[in-house]
Amino acid sequence: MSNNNNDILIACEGVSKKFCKDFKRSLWYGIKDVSLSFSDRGDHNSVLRKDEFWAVKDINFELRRGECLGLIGHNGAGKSTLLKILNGLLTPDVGQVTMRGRVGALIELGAGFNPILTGRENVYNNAAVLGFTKKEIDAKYDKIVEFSEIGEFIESPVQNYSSGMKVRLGFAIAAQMEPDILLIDEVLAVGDLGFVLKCFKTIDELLPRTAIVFVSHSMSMISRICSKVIYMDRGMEKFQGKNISKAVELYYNKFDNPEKVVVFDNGAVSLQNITINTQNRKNTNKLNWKDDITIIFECVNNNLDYLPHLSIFVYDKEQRSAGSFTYEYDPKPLEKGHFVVKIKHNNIQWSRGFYNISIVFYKDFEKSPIYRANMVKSFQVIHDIDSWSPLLLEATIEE
Amino acid sequence: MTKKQPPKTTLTNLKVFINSPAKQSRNVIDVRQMFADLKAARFLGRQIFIRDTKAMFRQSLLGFAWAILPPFLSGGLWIFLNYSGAVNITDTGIPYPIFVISGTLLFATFTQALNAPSDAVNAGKSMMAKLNFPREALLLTAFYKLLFDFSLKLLPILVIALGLGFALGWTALLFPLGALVLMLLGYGIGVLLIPFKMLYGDIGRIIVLGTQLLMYATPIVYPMPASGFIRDFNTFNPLYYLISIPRDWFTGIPVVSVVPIWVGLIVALIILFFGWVLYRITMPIIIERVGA
Repeated sequence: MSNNNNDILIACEGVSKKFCKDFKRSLWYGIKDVSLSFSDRGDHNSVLRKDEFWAVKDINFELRRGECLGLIGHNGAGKSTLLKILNGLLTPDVGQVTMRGRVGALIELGAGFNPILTGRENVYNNAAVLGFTKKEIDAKYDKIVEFSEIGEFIESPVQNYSSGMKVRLGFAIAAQMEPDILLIDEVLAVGDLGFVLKCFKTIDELLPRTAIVFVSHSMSMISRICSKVIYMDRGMEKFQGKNISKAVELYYNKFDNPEKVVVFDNGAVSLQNITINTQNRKNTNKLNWKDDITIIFECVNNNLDYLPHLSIFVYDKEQRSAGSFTYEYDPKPLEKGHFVVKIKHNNIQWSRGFYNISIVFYKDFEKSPIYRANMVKSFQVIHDIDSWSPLLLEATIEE
Repeated sequence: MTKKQPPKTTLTNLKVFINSPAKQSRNVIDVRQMFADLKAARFLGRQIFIRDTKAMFRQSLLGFAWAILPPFLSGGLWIFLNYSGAVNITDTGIPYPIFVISGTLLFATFTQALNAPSDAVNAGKSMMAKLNFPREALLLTAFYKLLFDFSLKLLPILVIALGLGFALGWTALLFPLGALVLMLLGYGIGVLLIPFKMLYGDIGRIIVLGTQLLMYATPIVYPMPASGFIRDFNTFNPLYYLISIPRDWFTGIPVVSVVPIWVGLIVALIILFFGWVLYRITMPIIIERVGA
């Protein structure tokens, strides 16, 4: 890294912001605060008045050129509020934000678009809102159109565009900003894979000369581009650091384990309980990487004559598919009442993280589903190495 | 994306923006900052105006007619009422059609100016909640729209006057300037009312009702009576002066004193300035609570 990369572009010092739950009272407070700020008398900034709460409380960080800060937290944690403070849309009640350089905000793509006007005209509208001058837009117009891949439709009214096209055009404009500081709020979640990849490519290209603050609920995106993370909960910073997987784990732990949902049940069979045993421990949901596991399904047979076929699917915390099991199925005759299916799998190679199991029972040879349940069991894989793929496959270097 | 690195910047030549409770509020009412923001807002203001105007015409069959028609319809109505004898209006000294159309045109300019700022801000509310752009742009958009609408209306009134064989004197050239003062007064009040209108729907209704009443209380479709309550009332009604003087300029009636125009201009600019300051102070508070 050159010296140039060491500029501190964002300094956020003890920033707090409070909101008021009652609308009329919040306006009254707002007027009072403004009038007080002109006088030298004391202010109410650091105490909570009736109906107020801290939306953002005492956030501190510094961000240099070339760094990307991820803001994570559940809905209402204060991420977007903090972003708005950084952008200057909100004034903090306590603390100070210092921003150096041109600030670009990917907060709403395509702001200022008028649906009746053509793509070409709207490039100018949106770019003007983003702070481009006429000259800059003229110079960058061709690049914007090319990047957006809108092609000949640039002369069509924007109301005829698909939502993906609108977002592409919006991003193409925003991508031309050449900012020193870039604020991104959850805009990349829309659009198809090609678009998302293109966004990443653009961000990768911008990153060396930009300080980026990135708000997202997609932990894979966070881990893909962020060099450090702040995990927020109810306005407060619960974690800050470069250990992104730690922050992600905190974030995930915040959510309750998903509840079992029976999607389909024709009454033939029902699932009572699932336990997982490892070679060392019985009935656990904490597994080590490379453990040998046995998953025990305790079921009740109501009217089947043969053992049903059981399909097992594993999903990670983001509901990405993380694999399924295959085994030799033998439709043995089955008594009514309680029965047990045990599935054994050696040497699990899921990466560290949280997973859950969904199952489907199929009636013996007919292959018709008789019972389907999602998230019937969750478990955690414990390991040192952090990987963003759900699988961490053991390998060696061959000499 | 360009692969080329921009010239290496150092900390010293980067624009620094500080967001803190105290700094912000002082910046808001710093006059130099206000005009700097206004300057920065020019392109965006014009762009939004062009956008809205283009969109309006592209979505309408009659296009320009909609900007022109309303004052002429109401003017036409009064002409009809007068000539049919339904109402009896004393001699205005000039052809009644020209009297009433120029009067209603001026009054419509005023009411539009009253509403244009808050309309523009309301339309840009969601944008304001999400993006940081010079807020003055929306005010400029409203002003451009007013100028545009007025100039559109100016053309047909000239055509009508000439069509009726009415000789326009040189003072007719002062007519747009007088109208501009009236427009500025309405616009200034409109800007001042933005925060109140955004918070309370009542204000908007009161304005609609109030302007309708004012339209009849002010000598617009009838000349100033020689005596009576209307005369007493209008002696203190600034609108009367700001409408009758430009109208007299247009129709070539000698104007006794142009002092009211100057007073009107100064008062309008003062109101506008305070409205602007209030807008800058209150808008962040309102957007923080209403927007998003």
